[in-house]
Amino acid sequence: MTDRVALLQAWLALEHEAVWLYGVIGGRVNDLDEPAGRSWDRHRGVRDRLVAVIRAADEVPVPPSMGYEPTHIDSAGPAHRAAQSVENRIANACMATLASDADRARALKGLISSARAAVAWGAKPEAFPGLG
Amino acid sequence: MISRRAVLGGAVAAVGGIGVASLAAQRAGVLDDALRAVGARPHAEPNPQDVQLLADAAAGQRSLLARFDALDRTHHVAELAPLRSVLATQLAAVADDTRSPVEVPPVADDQDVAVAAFATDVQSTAKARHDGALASGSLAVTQVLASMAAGLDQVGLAVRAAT
Repeated sequence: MTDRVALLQAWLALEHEAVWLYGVIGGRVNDLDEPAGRSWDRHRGVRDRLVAVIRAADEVPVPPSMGYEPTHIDSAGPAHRAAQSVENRIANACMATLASDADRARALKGLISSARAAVAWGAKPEAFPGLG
Repeated sequence: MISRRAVLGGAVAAVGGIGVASLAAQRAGVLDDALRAVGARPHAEPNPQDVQLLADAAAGQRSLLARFDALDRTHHVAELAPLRSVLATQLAAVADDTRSPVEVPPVADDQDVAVAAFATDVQSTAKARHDGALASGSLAVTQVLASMAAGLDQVGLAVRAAT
């Protein structure tokens, strides 16, 4: 596996998690079903595009995991924290993917989208999203 | 996770081992001690485009901070106060001199109009950093500008939420 594909696979694994997470939030937390639905749609789109790019590179996309943490998301607080966590981790993955010239524009778009989503889910703005 | 310190050190190295505000010193062959402190080696031939992109980023941050302060003097909006440190942190990362005076246009008398205008300034600055990230020739500079764009986008959202 090339470095490029490894970066994309790491990002894709997190998109699988995000799709799972927003499905859980939308299904369990009534007041958050609309924003969760929007996030779910966005991450499904990104996931599908990453799958296509990885397949186009003659590699097999990583599948979703059998399960993710946290499993007890039944109110707004845990839902917001979990959403911020996955968006921040996706921002980190996108930051790493900027190293791939072929994927730079895609990674930049993903970084900004996840940074925006983190704030939409209650995170405070920070100077350098995606950098630890 | 990619370290902010490493990326910022890399960006400094990519533009010749200098702070952006020390271009004159760079031209005279002077190296910045900060570069040595982070263990980065000076780039032999700084990419002029990357130097310009970081100089533009510094100018953009100075302008935003000046506009923020002007807005705050005219209409203090408590929810916006924490955003100043975000903008200042970004400026400090790309500029040696964070205190240069910048002239700003007058702030609108109507608070909502003034805040909305500032939000527009933030978003246009974010777009400029976004475009710079795609144009940069160095990965470290790309990452710094990309992260700044994302952070500014977050600030813009927070400002819009205050209107």
